[in-house]
Amino acid sequence: MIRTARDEGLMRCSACSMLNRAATEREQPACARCGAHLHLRKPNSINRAWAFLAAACIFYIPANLLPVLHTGTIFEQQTDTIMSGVIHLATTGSWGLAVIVFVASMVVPIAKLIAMAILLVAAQRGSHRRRLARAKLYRVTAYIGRWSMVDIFVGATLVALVQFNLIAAILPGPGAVAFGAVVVLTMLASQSFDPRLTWDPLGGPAAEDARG
Amino acid sequence: MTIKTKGLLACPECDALQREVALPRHGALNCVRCGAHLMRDKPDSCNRTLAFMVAAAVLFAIANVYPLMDLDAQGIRRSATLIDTVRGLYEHGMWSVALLVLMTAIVVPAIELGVFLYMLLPLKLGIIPDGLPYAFRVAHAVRPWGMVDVFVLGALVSMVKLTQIAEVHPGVALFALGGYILFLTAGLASFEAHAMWQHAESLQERLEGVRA
Repeated sequence: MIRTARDEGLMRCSACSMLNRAATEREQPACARCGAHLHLRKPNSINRAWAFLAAACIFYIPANLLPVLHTGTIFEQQTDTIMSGVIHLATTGSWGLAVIVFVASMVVPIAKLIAMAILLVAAQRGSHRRRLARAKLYRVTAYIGRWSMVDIFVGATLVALVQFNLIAAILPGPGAVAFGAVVVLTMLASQSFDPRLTWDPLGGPAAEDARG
Repeated sequence: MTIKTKGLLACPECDALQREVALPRHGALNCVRCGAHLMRDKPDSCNRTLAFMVAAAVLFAIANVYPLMDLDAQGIRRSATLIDTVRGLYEHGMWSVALLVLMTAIVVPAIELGVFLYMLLPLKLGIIPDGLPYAFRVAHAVRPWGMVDVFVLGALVSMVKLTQIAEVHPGVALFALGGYILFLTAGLASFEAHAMWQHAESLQERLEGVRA
């Protein structure tokens, strides 16, 4: 039978991983070694993660509908949303890049929203199903989120290089704001989620109290 | 009442308590329950991290001064530096996106490098820096928000996009950022918090021994 740190009255410091004696939130315990705030479980993990996730879902809509870039040349005006930018890359022959941008800015955000929702619902219900798979899902989710920023950086570099005095002008569109918000909010959501909640339903003497 | 915590580790992702074992050279320890990475034997951790971080800092400084890329369109030459990508967005009214790029591509990476040098350089010289625990917590907190690797991918994508309207040449900063990513990754991979704290503690004992 595996014992957890909480079962033994210990708290692991999330910054330096030192084990400290458990204390209640009201005592505002700090790590003896690095001084970081200690929590048995991240405070309000599920509520906070849901809140960030809901906000990310709301921003996801304008992020995909509003243009992220305006491109103007003497001959044509073009506004690109994220998806039309991907299609544009693909039709001009840069297949590899089209795939990279498509995965980073379309697949990753939606996969992250779904994955976080799955993790949260399962943790809330104290689910016992596919625990190891959920642990892996969390690890992947926490890692990939930042790569969605790629489209923001593409836009930033394009805008910096192509200004009015050239044959073309590239301007940022409002979609970029919403898209940046989605990336930041999903990152905050996965940071607020405490992966230990996946394992807490396995029991142990102190299992019941600290959920949520 | 004291709880013996020496030789015990708690998993950051599932809280399972397990015994620390002596690791073979370059050996790694994973959680018995959820498989999360717990610790790795990193020979000469502090020295190697310091060396990599110094190299990364030099390259990052270069990357902030020289142009990322040059654009050649019908005789008009234009180049953009890292900060120009922020300025371009800001001048077009996208201050929130500009702030996001400024933080993730410039400020956070600079803080991260600064903090690592602030911790490791004095330790190497036999001094315990003021506020070492605080510096450590800062390094831990900013880690997910440094996104230079994603930025470089974005810059490369935009280069390909621009080849359709003009001639584009990669600049010194782009190569410097590439090198920075390699050294930073190597530095983070060689860093082991355990080793640093142990080093600091033995240093503390020695200093107290001298004074007594």
